[in-house]
Amino acid sequence: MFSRRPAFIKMDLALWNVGWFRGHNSQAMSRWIPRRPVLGVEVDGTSLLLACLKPGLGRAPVSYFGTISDFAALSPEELRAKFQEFLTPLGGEEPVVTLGLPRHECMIRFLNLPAAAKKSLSEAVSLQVEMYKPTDNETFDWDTVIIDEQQHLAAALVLAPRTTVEKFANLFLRAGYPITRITVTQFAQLNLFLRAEPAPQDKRFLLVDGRNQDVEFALLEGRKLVYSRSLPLVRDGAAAAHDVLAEIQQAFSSLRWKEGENLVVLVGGELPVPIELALGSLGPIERLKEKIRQRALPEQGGLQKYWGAAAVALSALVGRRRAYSLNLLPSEFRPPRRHSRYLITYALLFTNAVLLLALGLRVPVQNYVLLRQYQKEIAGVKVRADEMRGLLEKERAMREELLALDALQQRGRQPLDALNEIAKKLPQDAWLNIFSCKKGQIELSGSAKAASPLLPLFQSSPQFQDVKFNGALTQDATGAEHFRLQMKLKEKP
Amino acid sequence: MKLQSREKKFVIGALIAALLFAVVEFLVLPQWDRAESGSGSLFQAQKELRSSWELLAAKQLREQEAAMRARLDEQNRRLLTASDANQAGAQFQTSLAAAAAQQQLGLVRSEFLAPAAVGEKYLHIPVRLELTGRITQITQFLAAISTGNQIVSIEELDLNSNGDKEKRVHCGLVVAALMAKAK
Repeated sequence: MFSRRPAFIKMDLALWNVGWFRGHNSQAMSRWIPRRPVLGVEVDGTSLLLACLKPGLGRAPVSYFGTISDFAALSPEELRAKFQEFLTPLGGEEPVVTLGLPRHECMIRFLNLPAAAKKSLSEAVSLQVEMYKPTDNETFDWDTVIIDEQQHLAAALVLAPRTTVEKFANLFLRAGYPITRITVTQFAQLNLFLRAEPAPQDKRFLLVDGRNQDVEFALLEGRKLVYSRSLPLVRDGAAAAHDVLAEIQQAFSSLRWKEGENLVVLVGGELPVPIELALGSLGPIERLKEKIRQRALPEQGGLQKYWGAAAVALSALVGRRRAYSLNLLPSEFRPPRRHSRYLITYALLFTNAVLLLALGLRVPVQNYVLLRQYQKEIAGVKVRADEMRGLLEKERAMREELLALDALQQRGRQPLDALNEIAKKLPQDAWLNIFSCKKGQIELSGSAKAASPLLPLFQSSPQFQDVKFNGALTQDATGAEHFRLQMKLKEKP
Repeated sequence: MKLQSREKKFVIGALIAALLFAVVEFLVLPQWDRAESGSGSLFQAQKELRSSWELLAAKQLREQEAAMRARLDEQNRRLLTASDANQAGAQFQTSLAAAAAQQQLGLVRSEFLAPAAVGEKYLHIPVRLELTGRITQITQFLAAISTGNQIVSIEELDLNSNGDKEKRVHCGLVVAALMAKAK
């Protein structure tokens, strides 16, 4: 039965979820925020546990959870209706669907490959898959996690039967929600842990998850997965605490680990008390959700139950640390990437780029176009304009010529004009013996009854300047005064 | 050698970067520089176009040029018409002697001075004259030559009355006319 609890739906706006408020840097936070809604589905027996993450206004994604019970008995239409009801808050936006298989549905093999295999890793692993697959009658889908250890490559090979993969892929496809990624819930939790914390090489971790019907545990040496197993949680009506401890101790001895040496026990979900007590003897117990929840998932009711589904959803996020990120779904089952959904975004980006470019190029292009237009117009009027320009030049040259001729004639009339002016100014009782005009210099010689008044007479004339007597005045026997005058012609402006 | 997909991406990225660099360096930037420097030549072109249109719009320019040409032709008709400076000098001396004779002046001396260039188009043809006569005759002679058909310039003028009974005046003058330079 579908049992989504509306109370779990909440917007993550609380201050304690805001990364910067708690001192986390925003880059680290962005690793936990999906770009588009992600639906994480964990298979739990006959139920599907659902966790939906979507980008929110806060620094962590908005998350809500739900369950679809007895999914195998539902028709595709019923399943679709359940999904649609659950995904109503997305408002029709299609989520990326990620499925997490339980550990017991898969086989995990650990390989050591030479470092030289790095160049043709795909071929090398393919060969190993052929060796490790349990039967030739059945097809297996596989994926690997490679840890580069300098001298060699440590690989965890995960195989899932094609029948299982196909069953889920078809079920979801028919329900209208094709799966994009199939992972193993345990690996999704490992991915989450290694994203949250860089595991140092000298530390060992035991990851235990006992939320569902099985207890799943994994041993990590630094980042390297060295052991993985699942056991039924309840055997003969009691928690199989002894079995779990015995299995882990056996793993320790096969790995030649000393008990409790640098070991941290990470509990992925709540464990039955007897098992948790038993694990306490191996090392300090830490809660995985406490390591990452404040960054990735807000504390809310139901997180405990849907922890695996949330981890599956978060493992689909793209980030730098992608260790233990698996996809067992063969490419032929994956939904085709719909690039067209980004078409409008790309078109808008392109338009913006073109607009910016146009804005930047507007002035030079406008100048260029105007220049071309002007040059065309200039070429059109060039002949007539040149003709007119020539005419103007001729007119100017003729004007200068005429001015020169006029000036010459004017200068040639100056001696006559000077003689005329002197004749006018000279009093009746005065007469001249000599008049000389050379290069603008005039000299007069004559006699008058009184010569002294002559000086102011000529000085007052607008034609003469520097008028002066050129020698002493002399008087003859008749009483007349002999004079010699010198003056200059005034330059006409 | 087989390249891995990552290496192929690097190679393609490097090729695209090289192509972009070449396009920007040899195509975009030169065009950009040209367009930027175009703003200076745009101003020049604008100025040139405006000046051309103004010239074409000036219809009175032809009339002015015709009027100016007519005036210049009229002045050119007043030049000495001779093939060289010597002939012009002789022609000028003859005309001066005729004018002096007309005023009944005594021509004591006539001397042809060295010609000089006036501007690029004309030659100055000077002649020194010594005349005797009454002052009225001399002034009439001077008025006649300066308002006559030829462009004449009186460069120097000396009048000297030596107080004889007939009131005759000795006049020395340098007169110059113009002729067009041979082309």
